[in-house]
Amino acid sequence: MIDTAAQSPAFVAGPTVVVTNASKWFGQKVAVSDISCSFGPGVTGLLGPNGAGKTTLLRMLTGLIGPSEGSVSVLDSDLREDPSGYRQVGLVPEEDAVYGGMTARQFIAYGSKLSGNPDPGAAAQRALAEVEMLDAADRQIGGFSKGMRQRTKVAAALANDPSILILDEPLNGTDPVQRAKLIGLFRQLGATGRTVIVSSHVLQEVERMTDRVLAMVDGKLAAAGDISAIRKAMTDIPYRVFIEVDDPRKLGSALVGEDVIDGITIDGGGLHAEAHDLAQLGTLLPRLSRDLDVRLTTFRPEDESLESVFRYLVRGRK
Amino acid sequence: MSDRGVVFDLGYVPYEGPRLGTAAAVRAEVRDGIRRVLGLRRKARKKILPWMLVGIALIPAIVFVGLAFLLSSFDPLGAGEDSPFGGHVDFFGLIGNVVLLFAALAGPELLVPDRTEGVLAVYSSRPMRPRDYLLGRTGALAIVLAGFLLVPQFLMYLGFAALDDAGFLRALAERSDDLVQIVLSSGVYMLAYGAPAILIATFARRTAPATGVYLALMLVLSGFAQGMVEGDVTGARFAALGALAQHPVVVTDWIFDHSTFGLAPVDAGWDPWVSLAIILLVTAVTAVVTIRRYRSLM
Amino acid sequence: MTAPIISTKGMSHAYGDIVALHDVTIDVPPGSIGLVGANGAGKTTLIKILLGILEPTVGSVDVLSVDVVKDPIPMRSNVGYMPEGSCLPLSQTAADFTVYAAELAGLPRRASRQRASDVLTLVGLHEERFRYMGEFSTGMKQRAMLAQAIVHDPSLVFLDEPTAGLDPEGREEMLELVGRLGSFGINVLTSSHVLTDIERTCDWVIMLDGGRVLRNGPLAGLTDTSTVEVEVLGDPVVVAEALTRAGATVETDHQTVFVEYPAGDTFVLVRDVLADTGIGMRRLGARSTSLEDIFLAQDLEPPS
Repeated sequence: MIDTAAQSPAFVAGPTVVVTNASKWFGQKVAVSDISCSFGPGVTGLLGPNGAGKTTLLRMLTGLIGPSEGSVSVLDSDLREDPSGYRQVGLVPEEDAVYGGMTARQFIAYGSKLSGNPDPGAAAQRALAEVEMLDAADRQIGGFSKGMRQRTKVAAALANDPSILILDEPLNGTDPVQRAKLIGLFRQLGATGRTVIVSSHVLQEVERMTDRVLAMVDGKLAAAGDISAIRKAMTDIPYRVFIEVDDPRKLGSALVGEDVIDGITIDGGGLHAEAHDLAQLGTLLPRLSRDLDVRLTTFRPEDESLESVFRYLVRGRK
Repeated sequence: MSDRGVVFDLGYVPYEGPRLGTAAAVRAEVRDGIRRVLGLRRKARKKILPWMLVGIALIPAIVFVGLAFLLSSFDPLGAGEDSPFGGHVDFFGLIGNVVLLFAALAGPELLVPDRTEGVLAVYSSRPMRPRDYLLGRTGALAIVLAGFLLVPQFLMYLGFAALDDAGFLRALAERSDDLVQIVLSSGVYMLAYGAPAILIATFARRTAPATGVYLALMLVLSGFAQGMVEGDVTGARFAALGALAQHPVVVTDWIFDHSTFGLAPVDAGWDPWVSLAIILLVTAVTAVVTIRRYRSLM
Repeated sequence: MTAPIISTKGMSHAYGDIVALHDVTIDVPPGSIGLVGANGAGKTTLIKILLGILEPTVGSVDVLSVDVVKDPIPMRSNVGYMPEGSCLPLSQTAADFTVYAAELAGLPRRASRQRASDVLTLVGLHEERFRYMGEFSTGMKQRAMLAQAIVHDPSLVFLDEPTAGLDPEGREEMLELVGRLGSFGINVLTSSHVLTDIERTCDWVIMLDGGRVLRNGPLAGLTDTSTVEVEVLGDPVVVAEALTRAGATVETDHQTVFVEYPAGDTFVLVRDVLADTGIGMRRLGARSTSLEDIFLAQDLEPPS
């Protein structure tokens, strides 16, 4: 494969999944519009508002549907031409396929067998071990909590040891403990070399799984790459930071005088400052506050999070 | 004056007004139920079946009175006579099936969606108990069924009185016994056809199958029973008790001192009060079972 | 505390052999309350008991000063409920149903219409309110469900997973709305699995585990610590050593330094050390334990 790392952050070096000028329309509606990007080992987040085309893109990645234009290739083979590539892609769908009467082990082995695995029992055992569900493996799915059903679905997708794993809203309905465990599991799967693509609406949790995201808005790719790098690329939007200090006005006027900030708002016990270079501000502040003899208790960037970045991306499209 | 300006705070305004209790809630529920079964404030297609049935219910009444009017110009009705084409009791024979069909549609429509769409949770958080909720739903059904049964009959009553050679007002008074008979018979039909609909709707998971089960239960069982009685098969006597669709006809005949041909309970030799007893029994069972079920749901 | 809006004593509830709630004794003040716990910990059971939908096996329960076990009906005019999942009749319009929901709570007809109109605007349903709810997106449905829960201006509203299924924008808007309810004079009890949402909107937390109350107290009390954390832009080791020399207890984790200095003012010390070393800060604040940390520290095993 050509080393595309030198290109835009939408691409990775050594990719396992490559999307080239892919578009998909359903009648008049263009769900995916000329997207080019690639995914590689590790975890990548796929984000976007409802209707942005995420689900359509995911379905193209699994080969469930083909692009109207352009191509999707998995491990160097175009999925539509060479269907055996399917086996390398595991999908954990959002919907619950209800197999209440089966045990977890049975369900996973069954799915594995359907995909042509010669030893479904061993595959199921391995998958159950990987998601740490061996102790519950022989209980009926009907009695499972949401978190355990999710883990079962992940195990089912892992049974055939796919190098690419696609997760659609995998944390839906799981409780905090299950969530933390699943997040850890996904990170580990990424760390061991699998290509993990996670689509989720709960951005704080996506942030915990990965640094790399692709954001879609209205069928197009709106941003790609490292979250903080994306934020940095929004050069027209200064960073906002909250500074809590015992004398906001004193510090505020000094900051204005120092030419490090673009704007300032006094707010009760602190101030909100806008600056293009937070590092400069953060380096200046200790000395300045000591000189002024003010007590600094908080310095908190307010719009570096994935949530804020995402909001800026979507807002620009309104 | 020109220097002054005001910005109104359109923020949240708390509600300080009265909070009426359970009774008001149930009344609102009844109104909602009536709209639901008649398809009002809902998609157009939900109006089709109910209003078709309304039309079918009114037409015979209009026909009866209309024809009586035509004939009356030649031969006025004597006091106490009805149209030679049919009177109140014959009308029950016609409208009975319309009421059955309507109950088949309305019963499930009133109870099933609230469960399957999760709306019961909203009722559970309002000042009403399960029995209040059910009162509201069955009340809506009762009112609409009563409408089907009483309104056309009342129109006929007025029509016949107007055509009566004894004069309108006198005829109203002389025919007042008819009113009592109409009301009693209507009540019997409402219970006989309404209760099973509520019972089935309490357990059904979807509305269409519930309608089907109800119609099967009422019509098929009755047809079956009738067949058995006519064929004089063993056990026919007891099968006749299951002719749920026919019991109200038997009781209405009893009230009007009339005789309809081909009623299984009658042919099997049962007295009319047995039919009434069965209707009341089914109603009681429905009430008990339904309240129990909803106590566990709400 | 000022008169609690929720007060239970020795309340337990069992379904046959299974004990869903055990000896729950809590007093909860007005405000915005978060209810957290693993699946099966008893959250839904607790909410149902507070609403008077379920009667506890033993114990007393008072909501808004009404004995809910004896008779929940009087209290219901003043509470609202937004259940998990859907609770909307799909064949009705949002406008129609919201008016109905107000009437069911006992508002007279004219007031119902007025309130419904105002509340629908508040939750952000404009022309859509005249469409049948069967056609609504998830976001619109959540708004309609919130509308029916607050249309009658309740004193207390129960929200069960209010952000479930919403996209990031929808979540943001819902959380913002929930945050505003307090300013409307409406107390809120939110049950959610997304702990960061609770941290954002609530000032009091009830934590359940296996049917027992693990914590019941102000969020700040749960999460505040005396430790100061500072994420530095330069070499954390330099900063750590300087702080230690000054007598503070220090821990580091990548670029973050955690400082405890009971002998004096930790913030001032940190400020001075950074000023001296010329190392800048990326982030500074009192360390607060996240709800999740508390959760995981309990080593909670979700009953499955």
